[in-house]
Formats: sequence, structure tokens, C-alpha cells
Amino acid sequence: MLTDGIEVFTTGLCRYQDDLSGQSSNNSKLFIEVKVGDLDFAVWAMVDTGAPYCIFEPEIPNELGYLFQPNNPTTLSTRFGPIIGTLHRIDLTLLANSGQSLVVSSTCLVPQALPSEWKGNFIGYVGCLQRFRFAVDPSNNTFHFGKHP
Amino acid sequence: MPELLTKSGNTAIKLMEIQTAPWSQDMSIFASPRIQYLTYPAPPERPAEFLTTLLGRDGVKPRKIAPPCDFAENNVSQLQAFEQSSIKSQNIALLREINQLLSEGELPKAYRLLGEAIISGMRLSEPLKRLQDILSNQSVVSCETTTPVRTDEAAWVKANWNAYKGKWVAVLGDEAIASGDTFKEVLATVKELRPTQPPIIHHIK
Repeated sequence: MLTDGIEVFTTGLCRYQDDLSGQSSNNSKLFIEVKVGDLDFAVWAMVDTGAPYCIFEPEIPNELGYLFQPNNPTTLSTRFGPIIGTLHRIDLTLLANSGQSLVVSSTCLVPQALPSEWKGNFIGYVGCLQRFRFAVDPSNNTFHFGKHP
Repeated sequence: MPELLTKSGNTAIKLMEIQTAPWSQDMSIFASPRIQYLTYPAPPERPAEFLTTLLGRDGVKPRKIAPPCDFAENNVSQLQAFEQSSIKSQNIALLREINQLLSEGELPKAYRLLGEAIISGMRLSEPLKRLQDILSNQSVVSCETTTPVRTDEAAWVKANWNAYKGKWVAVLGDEAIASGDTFKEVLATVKELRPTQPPIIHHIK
């Protein structure tokens, strides 16, 4: 666990994957393991400090009953073009390999559909990451997290 | 009179101020804040015609207008409809502004705007209440659950990326326990298998 002076800074850590594609790439990313709501499985989601919301492939939140609602649309501009979805509050559990996991009440955009180029799941900054402390250790591929005091 | 009317400021109130004594009582009621909506601007291009419509065809002798007090009492439903319409318009405008902020990822600003609306006494519509609820709860709770490091699962996905491209897979350890074209198909298999550890479900794209 990390400390900031005498104060505990983070209380859990997980090993992140920096690449999940079959093609060797120099663009390392941060894929961490999360549980969405109370589903009995985990998914990898990319930590994306440039994205405001968490976006999962729609099948995953749909399974929990979080659907796109045409009368509650929010449009988000992405590099793949605009995505129309509905905002929902969903509990995401950041699963720790060591220490404590963290259940974060997050703002997720449940899309109507995703562009064909879209790959994977994303954890956004304003809708999730800024709600807890986190730190990255690239030398060990570890992602540290903990509650704000 | 027509000259006076043209320069009257285009409101019924100002026109009526020039009426004689018998109207003065009505006018005090007419100017009541409760029924301000009765005073509305005349079309600037044709004020005289507008006033003729209000006063009657002769343009000089006003036709009998029922005291607005009676009008209000007898038309409570109309007043309520007007009030609801006004609230609806405010809500639509606020929702549009908030959606614009949310489209730009400006959650804190959107939340602040909603808070200001509530403080000002505005009655929020259902979509706005829903957004307020989504944006307000930001709880973070620690729990003792831990999970093994998923290095084997990641290695399997990378090794089988080409063979399973486009498929959904459920991976546990160094093997796929389910795969299929749809998420539902894979989830159904996982539920049947009841693995001891939760697998990772991944869409290979």
C-alpha cells in the first residue's frame, strides 16, 4: 500500500495489462479488471483519463437492465464520431490483487450502438477516476487505488 | 386618440391608464401580479389594429371587459395550465443546457446548474430529476474482495486473438471456458458451467 507521509494514500493494487491485442504494439495502455454491478464475471476496461464517462460494450450494462433510453439521450463526441447513449449510475468494482477492492459509483454512458471501430470498455475520468486516488507504477505494471480521505 | 395609442408603449395597461374613473378599480386588479400574463406587447408593426381588437371596432368606446378578478377565479384551470406550461418551458430550456454540458463531459458544471435550479425553487421535470440523481451519488466503498492476477487470461487472449477475432470469449486461467458470436450465448454457457472463480468475459475485436 502506498503512503503519503504518515497518511495512507492507496489501499489496493492490481496488475494491469498494457496490451490485449494479438498485434505487437508500441502503444501501451492500462487495462484493469473490473466487475460491473453484481455480474458474476469480470471484464477488462481501459483507464482513459481523456474520457469523461465510463463506456462499456452495451451488452454488459444491458444485462443489468441499464438500457439506452431514446427519451434520455446524451451525445458524446469521440474520435470515431458521435455516440448517442443514456447516462446511468452503475457500481464498478475495481478488483484488487492485493489489499482492498473499491466499489465506485460511476457515471456510465450506455450507448445505443458503438461504431464498428470501437474496441473494448473504458473507464473515464470525471465519471469515475476522479472519485478516488490512484497511482500507476509502470515498472511493475501496477495500478494503485484508494478512497479519498 | 389614435396618435396617443400609437405612442402608448404597446401595452394594454398603458392604454387603460387613460380611461376614466369607472375603470380605475378594474385597472388595479388588472395590474395584479397574479395575472401579469394578460399584459402582452402588441405587434409593433400594427399597434392600432391590435388595440382595435382589444377595445372593439369603434376604437374609442371600450367594450365591457369582465373584471380580471372574476376571470382568474373562474379560470383556475387555465391559470394552472399556464403555470405548468411555464414550468415546462423552464425545464426544457434547462434540460437542453444540461445536455449540452454533459455532451462536453462537463459533469461538475451540469451538477452545479441543477443545484442552482433547485435552490431557486424550480420544480424539476422527471428527466432532470433523473440526471440530478445520477450525478449526485458519488460513493466509494472499500471491500475485502481480492482476485488473482490475470496474466494467464491476458496471454490466452493475445495468443488466440486471430483465431477468435470478432468472438466473445470467457477466459479462466489459460483456457477459454466459453466462446460465441454473442455475449448472451457466452454468458449462458458460463452460467451453466458455474466456474469456481469468476472468468473474464472479453470481446475480441
